[in-house]
This record gives sequence, C-alpha cells and structure tokens, in this order.
Amino acid sequence: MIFPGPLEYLLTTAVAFLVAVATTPLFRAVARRYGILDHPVLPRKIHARSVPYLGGMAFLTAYLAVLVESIWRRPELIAPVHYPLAALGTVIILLGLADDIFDLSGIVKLLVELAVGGLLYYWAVGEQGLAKPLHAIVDLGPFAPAIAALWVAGVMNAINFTDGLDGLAAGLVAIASAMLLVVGIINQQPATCLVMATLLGSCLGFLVYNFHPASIFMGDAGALFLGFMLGGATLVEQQKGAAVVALLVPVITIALPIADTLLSFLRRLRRAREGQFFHPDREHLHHRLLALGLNQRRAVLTMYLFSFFMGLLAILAGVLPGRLKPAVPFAAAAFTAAAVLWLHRLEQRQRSKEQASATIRIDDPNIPA
Amino acid sequence: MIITWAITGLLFLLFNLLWWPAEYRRLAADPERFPEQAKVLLQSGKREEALRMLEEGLSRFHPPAPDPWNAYAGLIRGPAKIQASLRAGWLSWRMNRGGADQLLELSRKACGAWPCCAGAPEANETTAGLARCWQLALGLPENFSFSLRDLAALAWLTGGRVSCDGMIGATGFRTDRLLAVWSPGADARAGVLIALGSTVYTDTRRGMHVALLTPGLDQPTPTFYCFDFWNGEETAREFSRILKSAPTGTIGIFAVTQDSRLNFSDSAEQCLAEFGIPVEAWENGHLVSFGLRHAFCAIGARGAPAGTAMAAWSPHTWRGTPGHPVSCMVYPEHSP
Repeated sequence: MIFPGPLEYLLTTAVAFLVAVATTPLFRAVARRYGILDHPVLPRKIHARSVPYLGGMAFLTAYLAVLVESIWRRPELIAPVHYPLAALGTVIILLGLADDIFDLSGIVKLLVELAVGGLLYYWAVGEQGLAKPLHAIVDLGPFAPAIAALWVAGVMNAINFTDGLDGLAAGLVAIASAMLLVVGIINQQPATCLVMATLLGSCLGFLVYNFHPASIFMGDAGALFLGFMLGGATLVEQQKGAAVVALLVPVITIALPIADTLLSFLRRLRRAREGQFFHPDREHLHHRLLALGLNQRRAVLTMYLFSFFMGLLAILAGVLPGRLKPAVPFAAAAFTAAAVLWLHRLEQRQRSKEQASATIRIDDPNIPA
Repeated sequence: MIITWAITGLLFLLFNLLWWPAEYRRLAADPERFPEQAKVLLQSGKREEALRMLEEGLSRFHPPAPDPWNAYAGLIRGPAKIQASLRAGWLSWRMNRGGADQLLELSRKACGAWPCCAGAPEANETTAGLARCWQLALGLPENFSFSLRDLAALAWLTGGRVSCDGMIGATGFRTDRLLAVWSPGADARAGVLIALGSTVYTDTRRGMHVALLTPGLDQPTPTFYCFDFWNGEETAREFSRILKSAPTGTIGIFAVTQDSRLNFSDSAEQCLAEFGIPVEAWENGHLVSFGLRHAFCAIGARGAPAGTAMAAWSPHTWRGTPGHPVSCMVYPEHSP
C-alpha cells in the first residue's frame, strides 16, 4: 500500500477541526434546549455552574465527516478498520449518552465496553500477535480477543477518569494523538494516521469551547468515544502488511491517564470491601493538583506538559532501533513513578504545614479551651 | 435520552447513506475482486480483456476458491484449460471436504493430462514423508497411500511448481537429485517437509525453514536452518547473514509454517530475491511480503535472476476462504 504523505493528514486534521468548531455550538444549543446539563451537585465536581453536555457528539460528527470526505475524495486513506471504528464508536456514544443522562452503574458500562472491544477485535483486527515491549512478537493465540477487549476498555476508562477539569481530557487526547500521528507517519501506518489526525483536529476544535472556562463538556459520551478511538486505532499496527497488537508506543503516550487509572484502581480495591468499588472519588491526579493550590488552568497545563514529555518519549520508542527500544519504557515508567512520588511528597509537605498551623492555633493562648 | 439517541442514530444513518455508494465503488475497483470485474467485462463483450484480467488475478492472488478457475477454464483452450479445470476440481474437493478416493482420482486425472508426471521417480522416504504431510493437512485416512506420481500431480494441481528435467525453474541451475518441499501455511499439525534425495527433513516448529546445498561437492550434505521471525529483527539479521554467505550456485530450499513477516526485513527479502525467488504477494488489496501464515515454499539457487526460481504460495485467506498447502518438486527423470 502506498503511504499517503503527511500533508494529507494535515488536511484531515483541518477538516476535523472545522467540523468540531462548527458543530460543537449546535450540540451545546441542543443540550441547553433539552436540559442535558452537568449540575455541580456532587462533591467531586469542580465547576460552579451547570454546563451543557453533548460535546462528545462533535467528536463523532467530525470522525464521520472525515470518513465521508476521505472515501469520496481520497479513498487511499481508508483502511478496513475505519468503518468498524465508526459503527462501534456510535454504540459507545449511545452508551455514554445514556450514562450522562441516567448515570449508569459502573459494572454495566464496563461490560458494554469489554463487549465492544471484543467485537472490534473480531471485526477489524483478527490477528494474534502481540508486540512485546522489549521488541519482538509473541503469539497470543486464544487470549488475543480478551487482551484486545481489556486494552480498549482500559483506555476508555483512563480517558474518562481524566475528564475532570476544563480542557483536560480533550487536551491530553490531542497531545497523545499528535504524537501517535507522528509515530504513524514515521512508521507508515495509514490506518492509525487517519484516526489520530481526526482526533487531533476534533479535540483542538472542541477545546475552543472546552478550555477553561468551559461552555460545554464532552460528557461520558465524549470521553468514552475518545478512549475507544485511541484504544481501537492503536490496537492494530500495520507493518509490512502484518497486523499485530503493538501497545508500547500508545502506552507511553497515554501514560498519565493510565497511571491515574491504576492509582484509582488501587484506591477502589481498598474500598471494595465496603462495596464501593464502582464509586467515583475526588482523588484523581487532577483533584490532587487542585488540592495543592493550583488553579484549573495551571493544573491542566501541568498535565499537558507531562503528557507532552511522555509523547516525545513515545516518538523515541517508535523510531529507535530494536536494541535501544527497551530503554524507553523503563525511562517512561521511571519518569511517571518519579512524578507520582513527587506529587505525593508535595502533598505530605502541605499536610505537615497544615498540621503545624493547626497546632499553633491550638497552642494559641487567645483561643479559649 | 430519546432525543440524543435519535440525533446519534440519524447522524450514523446519514453517514451510511454517504459512505456505502463510495465504498461500493471502491470495492468494485479492488484488484482482489477480479472475478466480478472479469464477469462485467465478459458481459459487455470484452472477452480478451476479461481473459487478461483473470490471468493477472489468478497469478497475483492464487485464489483458493474454484470459481475464478472455472471462469478462466471457460475462456481458454488446450492444456491450460485442462489444468484450470482440474485445479477448480481440486479446490471444490477441498472446500466440500470430498473423499480420499475422489482426490486420488483427481490426481490420477492430473497425472494423465500432464506429461511431467510419468517421469516421477520412486523414493520411499520422500514419498512416505510427503504423503504423511498431505494426509494430515487434508484429513485423509492413515492407510491411504500415494505414489510419488500422485504427489507430483497433487503439487501441480495445487498450484505448486514441478520440474521433471532436473532444472530448477528458469534459474539456469540444475540438480541430479530429487528435491521436494512442502509448506502447510497456518496449519502447524504437519509442519514443513524438505526432501533431498533420500534425506527427509520434517519440522513442526513455526518459522521459515531453509535447507542449503553447497555446490561443487559430490554428495553435498544439506544444512538445515529454522528462522522464527516472531523472535525479532535479530532473526532477520541472522537469516540475511547466512544466505549472503552462501556461494553462487548454492541451492536453497525454503518452506514456511506459521511465520511472522513483521520482522522480515527488506534486507531478508533481498536475500530471498538473490535466490531467484519472487518476494511479493497480494493480500487484502495490498502488496505485501511473504510470510506470516501464508503457505509458501520455493526452490532456488543463489545468483539466479529474480523471479526465475520455483516458488508456490497460497494466501492465508482469500475473501474468507482459507488457503491450502503447497509443494514444489524437481527431479531428473527416473532419478534415484
């Protein structure tokens, strides 16, 4: 297959950007008209006023528009995985909308996500090779569909968990997709490139309305859709016509949401005995940055910066020769662990300060016993 | 929720209305759809163009389904027509899981229609080994027996290459011994078989199996290798190193089972090409290099011009139809 040039994907990004910019206000108006709003009633909600949902519809519209534009004008960009992503992405949007409106239970959502991930595997992937992080391939055999489903559902939840501050999830996905687009262009992976260019364009277009102070939220529909596209498109890496599951580069690219999900999973395991496993909390990384005193904009920009750095590492992992490749995941893991520990230390320092000031207040002779 | 679901549904419906006309147009132009395209050409009276399209499609895709071969047989005359009809018969047999006797009858018919078959020698170990491979792959009863003639006819029927004058294809190199190679593709039960005279090498390990016969020795001892390309780029480097170090005239015999082509580097491809082996195949509308789960076997010689070696392949799947095992044989008539 002849690989289309980078300019083609720049055009795709532009189309997706324009569609997202044009349609987001329409969906915002629909959400306002029908009262589909996110009310700041729960303690984990950061925003102060009701904000319309349905931003996720703009992502779906942008992807469908890009596919239509491509198949009519530039059919060489279309790969067999693109239609299954559109069809199953629509199912994910329906699931997300139901969750936005009725607040579905976590287990129901997870089961649907796993089912959609498995369906995507059978419909569009169908290979059994997994590229090992240390650069070789293992034959997954019958475990391939389960691993594919877990990966897709995992990425969906990781993106969903980061959707807690204005512009955070869309920005992180924009950075990750930009990096994966670069890797895709270098490695000549047309299927991934079209999806990543679309995600990049639609996220940038959506950020026009979603960056702080946001006038619309993507909701679960948007976050799950972005996660599905990111997970689904990275599931298949086409090299020399061979399809294998190659997760190293995407794992590094979205290390931040993955780390947040892992930490959340550990917290939930601790709470599982009280039957609270599927209950959300206010201890995600963005919540913790806010608790340290950062404002929304700075917390979001800090996380962008971290993701950008991880993206650069991912590009390195994508282009380095086989022998040097193993160094990259270790560097990424070490950097992520260091960042989490640094955050933990800052929190401890802040707690000590707070305790010290509380002790001083108690010792104050002016305070009555 | 009804409103939002209705909007999403309408959006997807609109997308489908715009997508499918273009997708059908795209699929109609897909080279893999050559039987349908040839049919349209034939209906509009363009017989020669239809014939060309079928010839090109058959050689490009090696379709493991009978219809394209039947269509081709309907347009030609002479020995090629008989071969195409017999090949369609084999593929029908395989798709319908016919009986062992029917297969034997088919291979005997092929043997009768193909002059090379008569000169096939008898070589007990090779015959037994090859027969065992076919039995396993085709699910034939264990007591079913083939002669080497039947096996040569079966190789010919299944799109393999058989040479009965000792010449290794059009490489310009020849052998005075029986050489046979068999590849099952994705089916790992039988593994590969490489036979050199009475020396038979079978292996069920996945990978590309290679036997190298150094020229200039009276009784050259083959060296066997197994390269599992799933293991990474290092394997491709080792493969290239060994093939490049072979002197000109070295006969190389290659067979694949369950291999990965991901790490099959351009340099490794080039090494195969230096044995005269064509290294390109079509799959899902794209030009790809050999490997992965294709059935692929070849007999070539180092230094032969590209594309002159004896090579046979069948795709992993072609439009949902699984490929079939392939075999190549070369023998000087009545060789021991």
